[in-house]
Amino acid sequence: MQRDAWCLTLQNGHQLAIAQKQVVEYLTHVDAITVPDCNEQCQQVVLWRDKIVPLWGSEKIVDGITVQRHVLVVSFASGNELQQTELLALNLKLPPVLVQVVDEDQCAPNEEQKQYWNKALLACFQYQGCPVPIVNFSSLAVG
Amino acid sequence: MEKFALIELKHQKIAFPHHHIYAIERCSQSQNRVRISGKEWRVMELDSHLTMRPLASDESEFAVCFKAQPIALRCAKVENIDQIMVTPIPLVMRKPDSAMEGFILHQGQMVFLLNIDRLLSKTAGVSQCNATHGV
Repeated sequence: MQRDAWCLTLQNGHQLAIAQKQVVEYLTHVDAITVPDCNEQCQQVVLWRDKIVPLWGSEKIVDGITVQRHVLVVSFASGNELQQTELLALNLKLPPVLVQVVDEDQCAPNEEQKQYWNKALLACFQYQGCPVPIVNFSSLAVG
Repeated sequence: MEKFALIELKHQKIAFPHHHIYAIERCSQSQNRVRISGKEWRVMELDSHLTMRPLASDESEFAVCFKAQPIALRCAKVENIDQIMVTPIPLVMRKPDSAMEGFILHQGQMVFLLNIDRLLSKTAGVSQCNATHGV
């Protein structure tokens, strides 16, 4: 079976793939605000349509406000029983790339990917010779 | 309805429930203590990482004296807000024992909502630790 997906390279170098239906909006100029004293993997937020959305994948965190050029806002179902729709912004190094994924491309993640994504890592597929993780965003919080 | 104090610091704006405040006093740049009716508060700054520091580099002219600890926070401005929409900190950003509780958008600007008990208890811990080591 073949599915379309977006292959993403985060600003910190990690890759992942998401389903097309998860994409909410691609932003090419957005202010990221650094939030002190929070999870070191996610220390910034963006303001998107009057909502405060956490920003994941930043490479270097500096105090105050920085402008980000490739931010993809994605939606996912919360892990709790209410299954509310939640938003996450992904800080990308490059624009998203559309790829076709087939079942035969499935592969094992490498150790670095296992460590970084932890419990959020659902599966992995081979793209251009590299394993690309598929991630359950609702598990990032407990990862 | 609970009132919130919106505090303008050198690096950022923070907010917390108003009932934590004992008094707001004017404070000169060199002043490191505030005395009111026989009680004394040590004037400290909150840096951009939410760490209280006893340095006096900040020229802000007010000090917020807290009820729970003998600590006063140097700040530029204090404003009361009656009603606010709080966005709790998203799960993915949470860190155990953090003083960061959420966000308020006030006049288009981001304000960090803090748990003052947690912030001050960490500060008290640092003070005790420094005292033990003769700092």
